[in-house]
Amino acid sequence: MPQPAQYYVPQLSERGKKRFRVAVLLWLAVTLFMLCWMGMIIYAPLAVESGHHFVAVAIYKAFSSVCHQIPERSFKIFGSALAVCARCTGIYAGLTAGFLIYPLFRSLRSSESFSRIFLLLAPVPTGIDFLLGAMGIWQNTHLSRSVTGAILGIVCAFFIVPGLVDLAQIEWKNIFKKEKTVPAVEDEQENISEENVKSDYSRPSLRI
Amino acid sequence: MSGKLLPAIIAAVVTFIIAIIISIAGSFIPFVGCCNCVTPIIGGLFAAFLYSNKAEVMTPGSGAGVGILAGVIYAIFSLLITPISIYLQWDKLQLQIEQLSRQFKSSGMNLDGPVLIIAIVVGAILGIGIIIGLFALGGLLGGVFFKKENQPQPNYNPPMPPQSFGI
Repeated sequence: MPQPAQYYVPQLSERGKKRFRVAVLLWLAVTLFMLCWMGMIIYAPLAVESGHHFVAVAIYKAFSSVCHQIPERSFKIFGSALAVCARCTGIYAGLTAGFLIYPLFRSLRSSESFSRIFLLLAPVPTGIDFLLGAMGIWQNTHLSRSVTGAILGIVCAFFIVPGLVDLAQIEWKNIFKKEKTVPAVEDEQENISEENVKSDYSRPSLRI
Repeated sequence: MSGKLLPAIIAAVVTFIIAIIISIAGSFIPFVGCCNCVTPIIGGLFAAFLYSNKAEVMTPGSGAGVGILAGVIYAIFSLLITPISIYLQWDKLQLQIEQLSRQFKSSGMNLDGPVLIIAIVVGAILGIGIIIGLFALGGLLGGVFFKKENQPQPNYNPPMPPQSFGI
């Protein structure tokens, strides 16, 4: 016998919509964070030029823990080097660009990641550029360092965003707790309550 | 003890030792310093790898979690070692401060000693945040790379009706 309209169970649940919203917010937050990151890198020499010395020292010191900051290997603005070297600038710029363009290539609903082979191949251009330079076979330039770094950054971003989408699907309070294997059927049976007894033929436990 | 703590501690310790080796080797071999930014990302990846060996389920979320934890432990180690390193490298630090002062004065800057030290401390705190962020990125990448799904559930078979059913 057909059921009345009020028993219709929407296929895109409220939880699914909420997870998509969280994924978009996470993507937005990380993209803004990376834009700020790039902003700090570029602002350091501008701060030197504009007389904001305290800020300049703080930014240079902050990035000194993750980059050698050799001026000869860095892009310069107004004669002062950026906060990180050309290769690191390329990596961070690539990451930022990757975050920005990701939704143009794939929906933020999908947490499926690309083939791992791309992640393994991504550092190869940077590695070749670095090794050839270190062995004295070829003198790498700012352009080669930054472009190879940018390739690595973009590929990393395309692996990080599906991870963020996946992060949106977990319970934040359990992030530091040990993972448990919970059978899906038991989980569904726990959710059955008095008001939630509408028939749903996509879930065996809720069939009436 | 949470399942993430042990892999995070091991990864943080290993990364910390590697960072010390790189910083020592960097003063003799110039291009070794290029590995600075990779170290925290590799640390996060390593933490995620260690966690994936033990955990039944590995998701990017848990990878990020263990990466952040490893980053925080690494930051604590860094903070603990800072007074010792300042004590051991006091001459080097003074030289660095003098160089910075001279560099900024030459470009019209005027930062006095105490203000400069406060700026360096603020920068160091910001640097710890950057390191934790890179550890988290490494952990997230590790979570994607070493992803482990739940074992597929066996087919759901309804229980057999009782013997007396229908009689």
